[in-house]
Amino acid sequence: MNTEPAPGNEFTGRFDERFAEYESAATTADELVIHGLIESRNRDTPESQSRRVLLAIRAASATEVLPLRRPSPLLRIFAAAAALILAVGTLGLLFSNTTQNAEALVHASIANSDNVGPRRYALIVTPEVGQAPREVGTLDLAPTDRMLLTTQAADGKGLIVGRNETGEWAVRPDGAVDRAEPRRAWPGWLHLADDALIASPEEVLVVLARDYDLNVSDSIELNGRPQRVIVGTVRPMGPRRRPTEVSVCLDQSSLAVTRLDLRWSQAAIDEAKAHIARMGDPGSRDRPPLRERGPEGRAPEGDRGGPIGDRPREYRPAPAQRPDGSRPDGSRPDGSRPEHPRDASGLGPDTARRLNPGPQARPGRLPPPALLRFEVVPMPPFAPDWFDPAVHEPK
Amino acid sequence: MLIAYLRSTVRDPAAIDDLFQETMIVAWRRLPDFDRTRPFGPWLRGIAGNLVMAAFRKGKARPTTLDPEILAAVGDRYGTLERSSGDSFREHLTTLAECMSRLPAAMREAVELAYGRGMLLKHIAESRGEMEETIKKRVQRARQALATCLGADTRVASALRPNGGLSLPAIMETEGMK
Repeated sequence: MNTEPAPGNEFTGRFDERFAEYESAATTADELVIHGLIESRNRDTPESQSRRVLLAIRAASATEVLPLRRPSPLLRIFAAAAALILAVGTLGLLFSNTTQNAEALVHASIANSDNVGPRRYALIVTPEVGQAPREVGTLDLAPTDRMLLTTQAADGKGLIVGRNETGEWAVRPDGAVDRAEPRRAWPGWLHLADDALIASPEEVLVVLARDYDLNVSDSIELNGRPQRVIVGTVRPMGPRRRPTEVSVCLDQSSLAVTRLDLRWSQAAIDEAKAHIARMGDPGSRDRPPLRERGPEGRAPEGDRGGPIGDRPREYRPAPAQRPDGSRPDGSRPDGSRPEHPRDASGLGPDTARRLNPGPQARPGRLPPPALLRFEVVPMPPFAPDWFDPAVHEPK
Repeated sequence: MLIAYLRSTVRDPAAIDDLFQETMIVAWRRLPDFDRTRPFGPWLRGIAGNLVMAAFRKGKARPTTLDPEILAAVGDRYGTLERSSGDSFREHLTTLAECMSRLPAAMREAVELAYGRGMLLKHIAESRGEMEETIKKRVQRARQALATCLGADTRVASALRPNGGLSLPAIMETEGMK
């Protein structure tokens, strides 16, 4: 294997040159962990990681369940035999309800996902237990991982995100197409895991197989077709704030996902609400950048004394003044601050806004609903450019 | 977090995707053997660690270290990150970015040039008119400060300031910035 640095990327082969002398095992371990995290932060986007997981699971599935795209006649015969064995095996699975068979069904559905054609799912949300469900958008999928999600952001504005041959994209509220960080536009509750969005049932299946205890439930019928139902319960040791329970309906013959229910417990919803209240909206587009950067990515000259808040007061820069003598931070030249107007209950504007966001609130993340359902619905044939962002830009 | 673990333990970025895929395949095949009463992450990292060593023996990958004590400590620290309350991996990375923004400017700059831009330390040193060893030490101290800030070092986590901040005076003293 060639481990020499690639042109323009000298770092790749010179990992150890950045490490000073050995101090202790614990210190070295700390450094290696930070090294891995910085590298992951710089190199691994959620999109690339999601795709990596999906490809790995598909590779694992293909090697065991369904040989795909075998070119030679001998291998084609083998593939046909394997498909027959799979069919017989699947029939066997359909009549048993063990955990192992639930995993095998999920396994087979992932392996077969390449063979499922275009489809549309309706997104149906039940915000709180006891409330009426409402349709909030659609998810269109087509082979070669193309997708289009049309729904609403937390502020009620339309939200369109998609994926086509050129990568992921999002139409921002101002109408521009964001290809750099499209996932920041996604509603927070659509993040199923660190490495997976609820961007396709297959991605949910990957996480389901990995982080949930699975069981086959009783069969049901949807639109006159028999369905296998798999129920996944999140493992106690698994990450928090993800759906507490996931149930998947698989078409009995094609193993395509026809309905996907994601349920969050009230405790998970309350925790997410508390987290949002505590942290604000970590993924919001209008969050200010962490630090201003000068040319070449360097911190501005005036910033060389370390973070301003950590400097002695006499070394902190004085706030700039406006022509009228006031300062951008609201303070007067003598350092005093004007008193904020209070509402009838005596709350200041910030507190009142936090407790009662109202229609003018900054768009943020929503807590997860009690139930989010994806259900296959009839759809017209997608136009060839349906997954192209240009089609969905505001005119 | 598996990919970050591999980036911590394998030198060759080109080998990481292969090792990630192999880990997932082996884990998939061995899923029936997984004890579901135990956490999933350490089990997955155990598989990944074995595959890294196997790849090293075949000459397909170079580990960052062969010291079993360090490898075990790396695994422990990822376990600690996983167990920290309610934080997802992406949130840990956000915290890391915030920790980086709080580093002294010289340290932050060195980390950004070495990692963000992939510059060799000697080139950073040349561009700054400093000794390569000084830059190397600065990057090392930055990593240690980030580990402290992130709370990855459980030995010192309890000694962190209440807000989890850096011990800036100590860092500045080390860097000769006082």
